[in-house]
Amino acid sequence: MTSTNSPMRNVLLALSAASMVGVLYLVFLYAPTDKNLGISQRIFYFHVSMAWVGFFAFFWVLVGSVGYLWKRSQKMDRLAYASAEIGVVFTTLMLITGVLWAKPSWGIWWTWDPKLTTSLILWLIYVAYLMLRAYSPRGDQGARFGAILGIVGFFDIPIIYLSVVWWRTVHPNVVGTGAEGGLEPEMRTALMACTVAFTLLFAYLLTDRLSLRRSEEEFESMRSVASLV
Amino acid sequence: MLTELRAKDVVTAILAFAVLSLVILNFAVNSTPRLTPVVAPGVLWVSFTFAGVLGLTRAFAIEKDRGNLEGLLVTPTSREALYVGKMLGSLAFMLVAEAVLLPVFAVLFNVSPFQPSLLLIVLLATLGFVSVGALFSAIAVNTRSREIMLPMLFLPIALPIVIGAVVASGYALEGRPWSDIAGWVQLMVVFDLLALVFCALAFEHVIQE
Amino acid sequence: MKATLTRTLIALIVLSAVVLALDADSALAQQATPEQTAESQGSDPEANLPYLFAAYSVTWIGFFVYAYYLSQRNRALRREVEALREALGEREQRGGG
Repeated sequence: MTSTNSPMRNVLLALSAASMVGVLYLVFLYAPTDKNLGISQRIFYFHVSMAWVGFFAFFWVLVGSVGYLWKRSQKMDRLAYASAEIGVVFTTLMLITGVLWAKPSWGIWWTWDPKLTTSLILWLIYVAYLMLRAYSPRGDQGARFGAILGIVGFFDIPIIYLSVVWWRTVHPNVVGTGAEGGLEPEMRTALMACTVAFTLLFAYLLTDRLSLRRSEEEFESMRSVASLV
Repeated sequence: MLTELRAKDVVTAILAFAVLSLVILNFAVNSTPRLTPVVAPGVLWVSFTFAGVLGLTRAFAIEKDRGNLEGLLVTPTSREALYVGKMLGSLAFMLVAEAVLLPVFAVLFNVSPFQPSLLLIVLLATLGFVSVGALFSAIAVNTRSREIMLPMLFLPIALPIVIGAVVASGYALEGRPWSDIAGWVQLMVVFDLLALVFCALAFEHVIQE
Repeated sequence: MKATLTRTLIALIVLSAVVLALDADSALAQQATPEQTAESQGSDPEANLPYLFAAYSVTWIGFFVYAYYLSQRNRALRREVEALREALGEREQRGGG
């Protein structure tokens, strides 16, 4: 019942902490300052890798959701829920760092560019997922509801992206997204390392959240047994 | 399936609310004749969305409160048929609401919306809207605070259809040629087909006990 | 038999949807005229240091808040389990005695 840290989880924690220090070196000392965008371009490494991990997490929500509807195993539902929660944490931070990067480089906090709009909608869908899980009855029914949203939401993302692209190109684009072009090799290395570090952090948080979720479920069943006694 | 159409007081209330939203939005965007083509489609679809969300909230509420859904599940009706029935009921409701709202909109914003292309757009968008909405209505009705959960759940999902509807009906109101509208109409058809198939399949997982 | 029919129908609908989507994409892409104008920054490369600071602080504060939330949940859960166990123990004693 009491969730002690398993050895694997400790290894993950150590790995993600160590790689994070390495990443800070790469981001601040190794990679050169961008000539056009100045020092604020260094936000990019965290921003992009958190975006990547966010999508990665929502992919695991999809896997867990499909797995649950198929096999009805609680493990799969736990995977979907835990990934959704951590994915929302990552996308929230991704949106905030994105806003903080847009202001110095574009002069505005926000623009309804397809990528930005889709990220915001993505975030809204998975916030709704967490709300749905919180408001629906525990157990099988809530898990089924979540699984459906997890699947529909994931496959809806490309459609949303396309429709926003078409919608935006009708109006003139205020600012471009020129920053992604020509990355210097050092920058690419830093970005790769950063993505790996955040993926490790995701893995650590996921194992943590999974075991907590398992304890929660055990507690729920204990309580329902106790109320029957 | 058509109980909500018979519940006249509710329909009237929702319609009154949607007309009210049209009027308030008119003040909010301070529409002048020059701006009308820009803001009118947005205003129209916001009020349609309001009416649709209110209608869909009620789609399963009556069955849920009376416990009729369990009764329906015992009968040999297939789950897909149940979904299609619910979807058609909501579609009928929303089309009635739109039939009332469109003339009001035409008068208030001084446009002529009764063109075949615009009517087609309205029909396709409404179909996509309710096919997603009926699935999530069945989900939301089983949660606490269902009135908030329904729009939270399905408005982001239905966003492509809303974008398509706003842009395409804007084009239609401006009198742009069909070739400009066709792409958006195709997008809506795609969305409708996928939504119908997927939601009908997923519905089985929603209502099983 | 019926299942195969349904499956074929679904496959056909999805297929036609994909074909339509591709067609719509090319139709709309022709209308599209993207304008890309990247704004270049002023001469001082360190002018935006506060933004950099803010972005990295927010990130770490975010993760620490989440980690704190997880540990609080864990602690609360453990407390509740203890309470439950005590309540059960008491009930058993009363039942036995």
